[in-house]
Amino acid sequence: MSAAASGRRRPFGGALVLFPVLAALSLALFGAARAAPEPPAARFEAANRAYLSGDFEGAARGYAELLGEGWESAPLHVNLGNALFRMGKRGLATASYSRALRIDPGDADARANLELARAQNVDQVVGVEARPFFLRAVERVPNRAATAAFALAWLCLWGTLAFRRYAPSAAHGPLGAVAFAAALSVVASGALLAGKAAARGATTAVVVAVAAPVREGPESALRPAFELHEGTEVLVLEIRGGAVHVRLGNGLEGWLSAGDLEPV
Amino acid sequence: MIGEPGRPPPARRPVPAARRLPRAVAGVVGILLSTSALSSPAEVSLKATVDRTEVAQGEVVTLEVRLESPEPPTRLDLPATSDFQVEAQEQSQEHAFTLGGGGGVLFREAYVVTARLRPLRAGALAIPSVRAVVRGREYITQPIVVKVGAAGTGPRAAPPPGAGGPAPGPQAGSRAYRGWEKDLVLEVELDRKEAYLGEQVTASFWLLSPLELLQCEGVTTPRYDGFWQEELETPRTRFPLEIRNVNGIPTRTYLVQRVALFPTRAGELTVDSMELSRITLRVGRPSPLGAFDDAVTLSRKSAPVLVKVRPLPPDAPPGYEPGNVGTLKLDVSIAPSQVQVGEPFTVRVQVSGNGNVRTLSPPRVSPLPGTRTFPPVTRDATERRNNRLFGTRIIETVVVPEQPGELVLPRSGWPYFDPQVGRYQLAPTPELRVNVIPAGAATGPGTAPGTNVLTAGLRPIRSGAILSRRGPPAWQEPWFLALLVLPPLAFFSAAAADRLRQKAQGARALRGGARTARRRLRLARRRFSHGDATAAVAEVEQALSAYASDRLGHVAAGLTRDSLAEELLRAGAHPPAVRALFGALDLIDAARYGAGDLHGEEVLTAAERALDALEEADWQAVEGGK
Repeated sequence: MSAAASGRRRPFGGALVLFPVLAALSLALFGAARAAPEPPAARFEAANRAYLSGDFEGAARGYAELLGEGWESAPLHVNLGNALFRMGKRGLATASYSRALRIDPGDADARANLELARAQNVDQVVGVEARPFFLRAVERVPNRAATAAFALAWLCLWGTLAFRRYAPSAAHGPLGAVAFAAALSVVASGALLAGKAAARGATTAVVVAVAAPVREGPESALRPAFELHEGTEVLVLEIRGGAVHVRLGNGLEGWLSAGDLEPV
Repeated sequence: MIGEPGRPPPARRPVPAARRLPRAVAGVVGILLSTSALSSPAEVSLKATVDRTEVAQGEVVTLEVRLESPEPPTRLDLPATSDFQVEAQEQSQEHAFTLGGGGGVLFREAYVVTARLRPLRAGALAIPSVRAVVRGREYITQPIVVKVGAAGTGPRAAPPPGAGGPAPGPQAGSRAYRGWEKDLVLEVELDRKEAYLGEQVTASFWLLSPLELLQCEGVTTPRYDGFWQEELETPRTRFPLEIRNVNGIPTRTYLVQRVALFPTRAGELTVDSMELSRITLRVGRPSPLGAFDDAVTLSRKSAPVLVKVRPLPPDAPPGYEPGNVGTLKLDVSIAPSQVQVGEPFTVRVQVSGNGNVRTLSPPRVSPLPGTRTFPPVTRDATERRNNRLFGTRIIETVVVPEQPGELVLPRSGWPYFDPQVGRYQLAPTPELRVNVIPAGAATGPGTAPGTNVLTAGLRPIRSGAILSRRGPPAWQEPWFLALLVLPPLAFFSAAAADRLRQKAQGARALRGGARTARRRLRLARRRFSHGDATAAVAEVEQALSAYASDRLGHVAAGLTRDSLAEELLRAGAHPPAVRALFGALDLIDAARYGAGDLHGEEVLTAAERALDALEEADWQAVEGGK
């Protein structure tokens, strides 16, 4: 074959080269499509199977991945708490149970397991005052229920006012009473909602270190005033660098290393 | 009995001087009698009775002097005689009331002195008269003669009424008190009179009563100086009853309190007196309604008793700590036996047995190298078995290993004193080992799935959960903001629309009124052109009057000029418009009443000008207007 013949370009030579590349890309895309993540429900059940087979670390990893992707539910937190508890990470388990209760305060499993975890706390916080009824009610009512109660009362109030405007004058009295009751409900449910919003703003945390020194200031050079142990719940007041200013249920305050805490 | 109970002697009888009266026997019991007077008047009654009138030498006669009086006596002297020796003497006070018998409620207060007299010789011996002074009046009983035979010849003492068994004391149905009070006794019973330091002594306080106990109040417990006290049994409402044989007589015995006493110092210690200030006993048969039982209230005090406390032997082994006394058993264990570095294990020391567990000092866990040892947690539990105090003291210490390897708690011993055998004992502790493996390594059966003892009671995981995307709370969602804004917005929008609609209706009415007026003016113009001036003027007047009526909301015809002007101005008409209206009306009047030279066009022009001016007014909504 001459040089001229060898140098002549065939009319479809480029397409013949491109075709395998495109085919390979298509296959890769098809494979990628086939390898797309499973639905979250299936992955949740897979983590459950890992838990039931005794692979608590694998189960915890599965639950944590779901949470990391933005999925959430009270059972997911409860299951993660159980896996962590089985692994001996009681502090992290306590935080998970608390998160589950934030989503669904009526979750009996989460509450029972949280009490079980708390019962093994080394620290016994003495002098914790009983909280007022209102705050306990705020904790017990789910977000959705409080929101729904307020929405219902709000709609009822304005609907009654509108209906009264066009109703015959004989119905003005009863409708006024209904509107007044609806206004009271708006105030009550609004206070509940405001309480929940305020509680959401307050950050709590759980000690996850076996023993965490508590200092009187954020400087790590300070001598520890006392120690907190795994599972103890604290209220976060301030975060400064790697130190966290916390308060115990009895009012005792101090600074902990951020690494010793898991925020709820 | 040879006294004359219930028969007070004549007042102010001369008192014969007693012969050979030892001064020791005479006593004044007025100090007892300082309580308030009876609530109802009653006769003063002084009685002296003996439990028997024939005795043998060496036996004892019980003399009971009973004074029932509305107020305390100023003097109450026991008889004094050299023929009898007073062995014991008791004083008490009773408050009683009875129902029925035709007298309603009868309150009685009685002062009772009981003396046990032992005859000093044989023969017919006389117990002299008893004297009492109440309200300045003296009461004296008759002397009582007791026949004293030689030793062993006297009849067997009859049991006091009511003390003959579980049956009620005084004769059924009787109101008499026959001296059974002396058999009401509060006594303390110790299970041992000698004990080692720290050894349990059980003290039981018993009330021996010939009558049924209804209530017992006002208990003053002893101070138990020198003892560590643990309560074993204290009946609060119903006192346990036993029938005991006391001197051959079955007697009711009620347990008032039982305590375990642990001496804290050696020597002679005293269990002080217990006092019951209000013992209520049933007298007679129970009534159908228990609340109306005849009852009597008394008080009693136990005698103090001594306990000899021996010190522990001096040869205490090394490591013995005071307080470790009892018949005890020691158990030491570790769980789990294999842990990872950083995982805790618990050393459990349990001491149990008979003794005062609260003073025990079980062996402590010494800090182990390479571990972090937390402060121990102590739990105590006690229980009563056969009037002995048993207990368990558990000390749990959490230890966290910080490096892998094998931890060994060496074999040791714990010394304690066993009072049952009377010497020191050494409870051995076994050698205990914990295997610490590196963190992350697979653990043995101790941490196998489902066997972690710390997770016992954990509620299971849940399946089939519905997962949702994490988001802000519902009240931060856009729909919630819309929910907040839309209802009031809709309400106020509807209200505003209503108002606008009303205004539009008003404007339409205005425009309609003006149109009507102008139509009438056109009609008037046609009538003027046809020469019908009268009808035309009437039409013009009608047009203006109807327009004014529309604006005012009522008929304007008939109003005086002043009233019409005032109302039009109030309704929003401008003064020039009012003046124009009145000008037009003046022309109409002139045209109607004889101003024949007035041209119709002039009237029409004035009317149209007035109408134009009125239309420019800022008319206000008029009540009743269209």
